[in-house]
Amino acid sequence: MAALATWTSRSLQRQVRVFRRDRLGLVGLIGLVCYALVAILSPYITAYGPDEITRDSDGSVSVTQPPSSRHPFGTTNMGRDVWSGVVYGTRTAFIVGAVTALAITALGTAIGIISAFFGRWVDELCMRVVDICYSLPLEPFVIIIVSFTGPSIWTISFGTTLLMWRSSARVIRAETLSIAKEPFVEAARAIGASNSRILWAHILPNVMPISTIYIAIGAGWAVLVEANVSFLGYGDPHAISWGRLLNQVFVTGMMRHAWWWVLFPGLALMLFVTCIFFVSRAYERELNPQLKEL
Amino acid sequence: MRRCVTGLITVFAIASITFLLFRLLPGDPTTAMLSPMLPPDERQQVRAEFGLDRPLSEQYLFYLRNLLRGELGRSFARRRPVIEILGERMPNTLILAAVGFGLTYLLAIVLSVVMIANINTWIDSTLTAICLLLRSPPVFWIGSMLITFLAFRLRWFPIGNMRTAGYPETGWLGMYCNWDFAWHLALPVFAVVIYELSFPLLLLRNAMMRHLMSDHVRTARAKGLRESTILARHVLRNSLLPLIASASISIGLSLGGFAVLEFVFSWPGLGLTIVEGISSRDYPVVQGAFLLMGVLVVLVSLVADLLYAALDPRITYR
Repeated sequence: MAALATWTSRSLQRQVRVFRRDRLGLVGLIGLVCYALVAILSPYITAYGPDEITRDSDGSVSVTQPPSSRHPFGTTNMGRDVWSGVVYGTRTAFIVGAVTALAITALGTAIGIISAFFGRWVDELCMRVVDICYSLPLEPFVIIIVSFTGPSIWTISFGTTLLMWRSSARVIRAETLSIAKEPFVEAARAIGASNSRILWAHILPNVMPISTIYIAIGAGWAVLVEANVSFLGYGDPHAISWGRLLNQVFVTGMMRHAWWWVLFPGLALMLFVTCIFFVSRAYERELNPQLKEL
Repeated sequence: MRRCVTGLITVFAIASITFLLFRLLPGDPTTAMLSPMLPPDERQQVRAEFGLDRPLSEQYLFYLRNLLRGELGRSFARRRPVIEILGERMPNTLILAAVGFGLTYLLAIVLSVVMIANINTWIDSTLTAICLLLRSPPVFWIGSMLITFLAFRLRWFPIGNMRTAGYPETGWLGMYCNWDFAWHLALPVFAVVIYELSFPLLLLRNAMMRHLMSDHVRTARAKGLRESTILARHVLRNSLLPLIASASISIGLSLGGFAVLEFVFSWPGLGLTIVEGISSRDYPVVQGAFLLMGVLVVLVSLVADLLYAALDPRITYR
């Protein structure tokens, strides 16, 4: 417990240092804070609900209107406000990103540590499974899972997790291997620390920083996969997401006219993922100064 | 040799996972596949026809035996052998991937040299910034933007598909070597290039930076070699090795994304086959296409590894 407390306070200091050093990382962090504000304040910064059919002053439905002062991002063919859709989509993106990223990282970290720590056939088996996960095509895999288990953000998240733990597992394994060779682990073993004591008190706190990078990277990927799957028409019918907005413009054939309906949800998605990648890059550079040039 | 064996094991595992994926998930495949109006005895007949009434282990052996013979079953929707459908569709994916990735890596090499030659100027930093931005949008959105603006607004390119409807298809050469095909290929390839470019470009740039500061380049400079010779022979050439290593992973990863890309452009390849197959519940086709995609990924990484070993004398595979 004490180890966890010192780890938390130390990691807080590190957070501050990371973003003071990396300008782009700071931009990403500020961007994410803005997105979080948008997600929290959704009802207050939109004039219409995301599913509401809006009407002009003369009572007719506002069908496919280009951006205007009433509808800054235009409207859809059903008279829905694209701005509202984009704003509420932020919530879905945060939920999907956070849940999937945590699941991916927890699974990947656990398997990586187990693989490296127990070695031999356990290691061999885990790494073969990682290889297999790398060979399965991600998006088709997720839509197959979703088509069997029913479309919802949870099943999409589940399908993504089933494959995406692979990269964190590989990296965490390598990291664990190098930590296990450190003198302090050897010292702990010499004074008779048990396997579980070494795992929890020495290895886990030391791979945590790398795990945090994978939370960030995983969140970026998760949002992208959700968008891809939703775009293919397997998205959660009850969630407003950027991918689903883009699916609707594609399926209704409105890409012909409604450029605003294509542009803004995608832009929101792109900037969101960019912010996440900037933040993850800042962490990466903090841990691995050789990457400085990038 | 060892690499080939692990590759084979992976393929076997993919085949097994594909089998399990389609059978262990809730619901009998036939309940999803067939109309609920079908009387129970006819449903039984269909189940028997596909061997679904036998125990799972027996089905599994049957499936593996058929795979070895290259037998993937028959499509429910099209009443044709799956292998035939995949045979028609796979070249389309391969062409798109080959042209797309070929152009991407060519452009990455050219641009990275441009960046390195102008290092720390506005050209370098602008290109880096663009790369960082282009890393994030999903490929289908790039495709949608291209369609909306270049195909619908400007009418420069067709909005999708592989050839103009009614275009006479005569033989292999006639099908793929003509302007109509190239014209349809342009936008999907463009999307691949935009989407894939940043990763190899940044990687190459950083690898070249590292080499620029290394001892052998300093020696080359001291010998009085021209700057262009140093760049081409000492910096670029050494930087291509890590590129090949990472290319296999990144190409393998993006093959899954081809499902979405082909969907946007209605490009009749493997990915579109999977998407269409799932929505029409044509499960033998999906299974076959999914398996084939997995095998392709394994092949790509195998080829890259062998290439790497051939180029780098320090590495040997037993």
